[in-house]
Parts: sequence; structure tokens; C-alpha cells
Amino acid sequence: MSDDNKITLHSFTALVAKRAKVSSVEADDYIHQFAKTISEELEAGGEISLYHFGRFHTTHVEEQAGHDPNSGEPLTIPEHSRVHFRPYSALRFAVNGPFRLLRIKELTPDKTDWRTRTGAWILLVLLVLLLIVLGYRTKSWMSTQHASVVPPELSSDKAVVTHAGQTPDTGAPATVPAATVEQETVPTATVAATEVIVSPGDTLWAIAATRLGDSYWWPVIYAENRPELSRRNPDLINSGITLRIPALAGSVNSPNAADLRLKKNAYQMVADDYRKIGNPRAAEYEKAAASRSKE
Amino acid sequence: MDQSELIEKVAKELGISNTLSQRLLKATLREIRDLLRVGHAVTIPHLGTFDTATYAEHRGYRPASHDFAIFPKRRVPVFRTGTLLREDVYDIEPDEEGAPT
Repeated sequence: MSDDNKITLHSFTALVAKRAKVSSVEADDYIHQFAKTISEELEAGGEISLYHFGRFHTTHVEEQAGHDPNSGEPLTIPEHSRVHFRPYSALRFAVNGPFRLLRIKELTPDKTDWRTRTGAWILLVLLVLLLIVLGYRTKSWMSTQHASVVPPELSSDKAVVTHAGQTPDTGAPATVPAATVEQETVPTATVAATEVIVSPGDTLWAIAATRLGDSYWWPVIYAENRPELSRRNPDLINSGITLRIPALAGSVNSPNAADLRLKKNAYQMVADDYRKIGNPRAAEYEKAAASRSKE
Repeated sequence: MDQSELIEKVAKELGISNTLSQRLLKATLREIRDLLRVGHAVTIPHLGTFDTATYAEHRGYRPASHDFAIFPKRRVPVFRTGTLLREDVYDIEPDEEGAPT
């Protein structure tokens, strides 16, 4: 509304002439004729559409009551026509350039608008796939830890010894996985009482439990048979071989000094073998052997 | 009347070619647009004034979703009809005091 931003007709004509590469006289004539033509068309009741610019049209206004702005007395405004200009969106966007990045702000934020976004769904699907893959890999890792789920052609070759994470020197009840204790008594009954044939699925832990009466004495069996075991791995023994069960001077529940020394040496041997193959259980067995020597 | 009819009519009145008329029309409209873009106002004699109006950020009603929202600040082109054109289009004779409102 202020006049400081107005362009005079003279400078506007000069700009148009420069842009159209004509003289300013021609441009001035053209602008006047342009306005005159539009006026005549609007007077005749028509409308003018200008491409990418806007539309001039007239509307009819009914007779209505009003008042004189100077005296305030009421008067009747007769019916008449008036001119409108409707800018098209190209012009609107051009004029709204400085504020084109502003957006409508919601007074009540819609919490469900993420459903309309494709990226949110893609992320969700990827997350679910990741969880599935992680779960699958965890399951397969766990199945390799359990000897009971080892495929039959593998378990017929070697028996996997599991300790199920027990520390060897605690008095906690020995919880052996039920599937690993598949001691076949029939073939061992035929051989001597101090020997046992390892059957598929058999473990040192289970053999110690049945033969010696205490699972925690299994390193003694390992130490006795270590020269014959070519793997030097306390966790893996071949099935079908014959293990010698060492005879104890006392019993498992009341061992004498020689038995304790035997057990301590066996734990030390297991710890050494574990350390050679890089098994982290070596430290536990080392500690157990040290505590035995203190006693 | 659309743009081509306007071009032909003005060309016939001025006695210039349609090509030149079209070039001049495009130059005029683009010049108006570029001046409005930088915030200037242009007055065309006998026709009216092209100007811009700036609306501050305001709360408004959206009939499509039946709710209210905060509309951002924006600038729109406006056209104010010139007095001569308004009188011509008014369709009734002005009274003796002068132009009708």
C-alpha cells in the first residue's frame, strides 16, 4: 500500500522495452493498448485468461445496504459488476518465493502420519528381518553347543564332551544334560571293570559319574588315558576307544592324600591342554588345581 | 478471451505483427512477475495496480478436515482495480457527485 515500492510507468516501460528488445515508444503504446483491450473485454462482460499469470473476470453484485463513509447516513448500493483478478499458481509461487519453505503447522499433531511414509515401513521390515536373522543364528549357535543335537554321522565319529559351564571345584549338584548320559552298559559289562568302551554320545563327565561316582573326577580319567588320546583336547574323545579307569586308593567321598594329589595333577594337565588349544576354561581349571594344592 | 485472442486483437489495433505482439505480451507479464517477486508494485494505466500483500502467520480453519491449523507467513499477488476501469465496469451511470463507490 505504501508508495515507496511503486515503479513508475516510465521505468516499467523501459524494462519491458529492454526485455522485448523494442523501443520504449513501442512498449508504451503496447501497454496502453493492452490495458484498453482488457478493459473493453471486461466491460463487455467477458474474461481474460493469461497463461501462467492470472485471470481477469467480473462478478455481479446484488443491491445491498451500506452507509456513506463521510456522513454515516445509510444509503442503498445498487446492483453492479466488479472486476476481479485471480492469480494463477505460477505467479503465486513466484511471489511467495521468500516463504516457500514454510509449512502448515498442525495444532493437534497426528501420531499416525508415519504410516503414510514409505521409509518408515522399509525400516520396520528391515528391523524385523534383522531380528529373524539374529534369532536364527543364535539358535544355530546354540545347537552346535549341545552335543544332543549333533547330526548322527558326526556323533558316530566322535563324542562331544560338554561341561555345561559348571565350575569344577564347587559342590553344586552336577546337572548333566540328559541326552549325553547314554551309557551303554551292555558292552562294558563284558570287558574288565577298570575299562570302558566309549559309545557314541558318551562323555567323560558321564563316565566319571557312573564309574567313579563323582563327575568332578573326570580329569583323573583324562590324565590316565592322555597318552592314547591323540587329540590332546579334553572336550573331544573318539567313540569306540577303550578308556582305563584309574583305581583310587580311597573312595571318591573319602579320598586320601594320594588321590587328592592325583586329582590336582589331572586338573593341572587339563588346564595345560585347554591353554594349548586356546580354550578359556583353562583359567578355571588352573584355579581349581591351585586350590587343591592349598588343601 | 484467451491469450492468443488478446495477442491478435492488440496486434490488429496497433498494426504490428502477431509475433511482436506476443513477444511484448510475454515481456510485459514476465516483467510484472519479476517486479512482484522482489516486492515492487506496478501500475498499468486505466487497468489497475499489481501489488503484493504479506499475510502474517495465522490460525485458520481447514474445511476439508474440519480442524484448525497454523498457516505460515506468506506473500500473495493482489490486483487493485483502477478507478477508471471500475467505473466503466460498474454498468450504471454515476450520479452528479462523482464516481459511485
